[in-house]
Amino acid sequence: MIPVLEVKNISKIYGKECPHCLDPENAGGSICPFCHSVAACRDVSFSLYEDEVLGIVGESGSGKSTLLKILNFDEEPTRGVMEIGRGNPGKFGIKGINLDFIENANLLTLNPYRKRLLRNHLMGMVYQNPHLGLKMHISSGGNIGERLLMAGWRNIGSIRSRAMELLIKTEVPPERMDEAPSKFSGGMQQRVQIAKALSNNPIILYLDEPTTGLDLSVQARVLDLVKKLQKELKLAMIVVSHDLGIIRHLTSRTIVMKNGRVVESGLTDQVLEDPQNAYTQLLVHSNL
Amino acid sequence: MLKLINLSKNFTLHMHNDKIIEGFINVTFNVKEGRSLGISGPSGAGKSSIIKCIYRTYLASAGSINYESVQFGNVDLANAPEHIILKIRDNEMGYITQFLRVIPRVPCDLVVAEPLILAGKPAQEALDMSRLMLSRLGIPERLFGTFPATFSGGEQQRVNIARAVIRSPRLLLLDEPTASLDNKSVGAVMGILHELREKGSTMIGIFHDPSIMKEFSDSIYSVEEKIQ
Repeated sequence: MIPVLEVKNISKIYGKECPHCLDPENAGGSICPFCHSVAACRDVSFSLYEDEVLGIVGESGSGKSTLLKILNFDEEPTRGVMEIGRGNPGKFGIKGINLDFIENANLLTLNPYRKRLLRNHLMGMVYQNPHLGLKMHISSGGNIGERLLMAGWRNIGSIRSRAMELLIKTEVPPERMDEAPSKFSGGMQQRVQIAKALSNNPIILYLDEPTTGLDLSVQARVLDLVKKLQKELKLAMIVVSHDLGIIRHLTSRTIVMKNGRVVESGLTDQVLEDPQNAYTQLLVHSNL
Repeated sequence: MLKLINLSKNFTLHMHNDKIIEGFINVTFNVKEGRSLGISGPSGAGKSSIIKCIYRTYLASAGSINYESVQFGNVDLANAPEHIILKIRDNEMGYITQFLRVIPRVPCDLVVAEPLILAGKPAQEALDMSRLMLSRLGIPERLFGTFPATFSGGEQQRVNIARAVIRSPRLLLLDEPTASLDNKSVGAVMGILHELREKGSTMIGIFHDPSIMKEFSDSIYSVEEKIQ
């Protein structure tokens, strides 16, 4: 089986790098004791297969959101390799757009135009803060339409009907599609964000703490929606969360990060029931 | 079809000065396709841990678990990559535990039908099969559309069993599936296990009740009490 997404040795160092920044010995923290640079991600590697949901857990500052930003091309890594659909790029053939360049390419070193092309056609991102994913004063339909335009849609009628279809799918009342998300509740904003992220039929969906800050019943509804859509569309997904309950509910595999490094990875039930690393054991036992 | 060779499991408790707790050591057995193996032994001997290692909920500390997979050929379940284990779990292996983890906010008949739907069966057909299975296990029809989280322990247990057996898994792991059931339900469960065996499923089971154990197994592997 060929992974949908493969990531090798991604590192991100803020500040001028010295040869000691990635030393395994500096396990104490993410600040390099020699040059005082901050290593947000250190040599992170994993692969993600079709229909798989990968959870990334870790405390605040462990580098999980930075990693997701790198994968979504929001942030440039110091180094690292990212490949999508290796050996089978034709599979992502999108009408009128040639994505052949992704074969055997390190996507992290592509030019900004090609990165945007990939992001617009193959990826979707749901941010913790809806302000990052949505334009709050443009109508919900317009928000989705904007993304469809970037993905090459041109016919206004089909854009509108696609937006309508997505809002129905994500349980947003379609009669409110001409209203701006600023008028919506937090849970509904999150559902509009999910609709927008799915509009281009991505092969990978990233979710960064998608329900943090929502109250419990709303959180359950958003999670159930994500789970339902994942199964229906057989999406590969990466979920960043510090909540082990959400990780257990949504993911099949988990990596645990601490000080920018992956300290443990495995099947989600194994990581939660038989954690190997000292930090993961602490994390699991801290769960209420 | 499944061969455990010198399988051992230790737990290292990092929060207790790296104390090492022994789960079980040097377990070796072989189960042929279509046969049922019972694992017996006193509580705390590591019976459930063996089953969890086969399902990969636990990582084995040493030894190997050779499984002949339909999809991948010979696979060592103790070390195979995670995506391979996930595919084997999805398509070949079922696991029933004594402890229930109920899927929240999904009606009972859908909980049971879901594995079939994910395997590509039309939803209506899957739901019909699910309801039939639930009826066989004595779940009243009025509960089909409600959430299992509200059920009694025995009812939840039966939903759990129904979900695991509905796909007729090729390898079925059972950890005290009848622990909280009355005699009538136990009879229904044993009937279903008997049918699975007729269909060729291989099973490994732990049963507290010696008569059920005897009825279930073709052979018995006994885990000895640990010497303290």
